[in-house]
Amino acid sequence: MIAFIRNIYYLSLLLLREEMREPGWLFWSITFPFIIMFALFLQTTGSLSPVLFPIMLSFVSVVTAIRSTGAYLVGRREASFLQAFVSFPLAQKRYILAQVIAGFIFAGVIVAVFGVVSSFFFKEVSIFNSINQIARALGVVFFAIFAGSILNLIPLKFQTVMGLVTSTYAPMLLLTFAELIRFPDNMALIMINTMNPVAVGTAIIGGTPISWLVLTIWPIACFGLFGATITWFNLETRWDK
Amino acid sequence: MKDTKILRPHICQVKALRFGYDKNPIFDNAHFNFEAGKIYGILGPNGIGKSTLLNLLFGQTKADSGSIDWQIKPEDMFYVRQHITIPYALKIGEFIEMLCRINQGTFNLDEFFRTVPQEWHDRLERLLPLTPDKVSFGDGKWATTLAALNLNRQFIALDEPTAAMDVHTRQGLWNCITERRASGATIIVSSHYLEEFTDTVDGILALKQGKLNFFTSVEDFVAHLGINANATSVNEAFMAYYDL
Repeated sequence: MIAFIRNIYYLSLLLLREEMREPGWLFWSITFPFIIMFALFLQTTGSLSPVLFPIMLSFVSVVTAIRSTGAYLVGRREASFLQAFVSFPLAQKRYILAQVIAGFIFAGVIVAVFGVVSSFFFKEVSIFNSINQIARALGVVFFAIFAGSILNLIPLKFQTVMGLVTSTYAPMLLLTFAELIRFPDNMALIMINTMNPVAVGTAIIGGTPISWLVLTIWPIACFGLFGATITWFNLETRWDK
Repeated sequence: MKDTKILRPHICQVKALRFGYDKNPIFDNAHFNFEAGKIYGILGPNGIGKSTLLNLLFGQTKADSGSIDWQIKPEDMFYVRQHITIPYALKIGEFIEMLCRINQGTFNLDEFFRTVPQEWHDRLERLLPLTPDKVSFGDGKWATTLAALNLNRQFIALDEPTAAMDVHTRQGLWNCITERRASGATIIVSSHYLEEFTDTVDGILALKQGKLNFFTSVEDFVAHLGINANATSVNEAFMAYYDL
């Protein structure tokens, strides 16, 4: 058991090192959210509304978590890495576990750094409150990583999968903005946002009331998707046709 | 090289295998038994189905009909494909470590070096800190093949392991392969170079017209059906056999 844990630890470090060397996460995890915040900051006099802080943290948590695990599982499948080097069940479990750990550390660090740096835009959010919300954001990262692993099972090539996934990022953010800033009583938006990871993450991070049904279904769904990925782990390389 | 685990006489049985693209069969009613502790060379010109055979054996391509019965578990085999992609953000040393940690559950650099011939230590040390864009395809494949041979496997398939390698490296790699056989592993190697199979393999599988034709040695292959009548070298025999 100790040998297994030690092996996973070193494997996670290798995968973490690899992720840190790839700058693909920069746009959605750092550049885009800061552009949004800066654009909003130009409209204000000195500080952004504290309502925006958990929204931005939730957004960065979700997109970075997807990037750090789900995207890797699809990218490696396309590069034939999985078929060539992760071919039998025990190897798959070792690899997935290490990738999840590496992804969590990687996304967690980015979310924490983003939270600390972006808190300067939010003068009304106290340091204690910032730390509290960043800690909750790590929980969102945890669940988003498990859910994001399902990308491995989508039988499409990497560019298509990531094209589809990234095309949902801005709408997820806008729908969350729409409900929390402009239309808080709109039932249609509230219903849609129960399925919106960024909106659900915002509620968790911000500590706003959230129905028990949503709080129950989301963790079950996240672990269920992860279970499906482990069970039917897809090695098959997909190419352009 | 490491010792393998339990050995059985037949490690894999291929029965009535059929596979083709559209209506063109690559294999048709092909039969073969792979025995434990032997090296098999797969021979054939480009496109005849050498890689397809390995993909079929490892379940990465589904046969149209027939069966492939393994007597060992998937974790007792390893297949180094013809084209390998080393993640570009990893150094060669990190990639070897990752490969071993995923497939073997452990890695020790000193132990790994002990399985590599002394004459290659400097070359390997030079490669380990480099990323794939700084090394040649041949060097990347060489390092990957060494890592695969270091894994404790009963059955290892190497798809054109010596392609893009110089003569000296080829020879050294074949020494590692034969050493691995001495420790009980079964190894299947595809190649275009018939001369590589001289004094190294225990049998040659020549793919022709959908069948797996077995020859005990290069001499046996050359002598087959009298094709040596006009052949002055093994390469000429190869071309005569395939009507090239």
